[in-house]
Amino acid sequence: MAQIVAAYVMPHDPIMFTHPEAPAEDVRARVAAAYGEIARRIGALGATAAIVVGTDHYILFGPQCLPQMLIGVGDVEGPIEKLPGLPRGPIENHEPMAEAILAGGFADGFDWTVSRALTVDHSISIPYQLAIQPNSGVRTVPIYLACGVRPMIDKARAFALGASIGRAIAAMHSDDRVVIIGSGGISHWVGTAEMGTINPRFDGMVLDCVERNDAASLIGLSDALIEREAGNGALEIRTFLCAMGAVGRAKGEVIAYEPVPEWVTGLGFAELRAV
Amino acid sequence: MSLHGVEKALYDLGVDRASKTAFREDPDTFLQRYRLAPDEHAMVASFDVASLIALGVNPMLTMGYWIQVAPDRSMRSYMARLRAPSEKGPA
Repeated sequence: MAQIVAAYVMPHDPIMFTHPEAPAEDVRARVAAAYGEIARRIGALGATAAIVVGTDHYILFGPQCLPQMLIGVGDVEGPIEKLPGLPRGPIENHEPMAEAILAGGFADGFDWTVSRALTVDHSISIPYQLAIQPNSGVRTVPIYLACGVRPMIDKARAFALGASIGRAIAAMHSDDRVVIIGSGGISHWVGTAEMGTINPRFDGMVLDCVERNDAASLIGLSDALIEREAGNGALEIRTFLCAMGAVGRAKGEVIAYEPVPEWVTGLGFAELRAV
Repeated sequence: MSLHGVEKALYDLGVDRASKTAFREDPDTFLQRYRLAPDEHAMVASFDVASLIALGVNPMLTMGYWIQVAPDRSMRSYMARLRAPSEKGPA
């Protein structure tokens, strides 16, 4: 039987690639080490598949069509953006797993939007290239949640969707060992006058919730509070909730936290190891 | 007010090559494709990003169209324009 062995949260900051040398060298090294540590753990767990839960930035999906939840079930490639050091290319999907998640979601009342040929953005490509691709043979299922463009997915629903994903994986008759990544956050203001501000106190609170596997406290945060305290980019913690819902009972650990003004983001990394 | 039309125009200018080219050649003619009020048309044409955000436009769109089609596409000038909304935009 397939099983989810761990969930991770990690950022997808594109400025790491456009201005890679902006922060001090030791900061850059610690951020790189955090991605490397998660890649190492994914390898050590013997993962065969990774589900990456990303979010669009009003690039893939426009005002003409705004999916609440989307899954790539066929060909996958990206990123769509030209980012130095993040080459565009194909990403091997785990199509049977994607189809199982899709079917399970429909049975659970989640009306997935389906992409049969998906070009991903940096929210999928950064976790993929830094944490998954270093481990050969790990296939990737891409998922998008509406986190940055209204109407955004309800936070409780993002968590419940994760639980549906977890049930679908558990029902698969395969030996797959699966990790799920919530990609995004934590505090950052995107395109607003506050851009460059970071709120380490808020970020610490979020990471503490992840470490304690306390989804209820994150679900209880209003969007107004999140935007006021941590910026529109912090609304991406919906991806964390999806990953937390999928992994279920788990032991948490904060792997790293770096507030990096040069990259306009509080960068948080954590693991929830299934127990 | 036609916020959805503004967002569609900015989205097209952020991601669609033909739209970018048409806007650079003749912004006023390009913007006539959309159902914009005169003040909205002026905000987009003059890169008044602060007023666009105040209108309710998603900041990811204002940033994206600035990076793609503003005369000075740098983030430094975008932030300067955001923080000095009373200034006139680039001609």
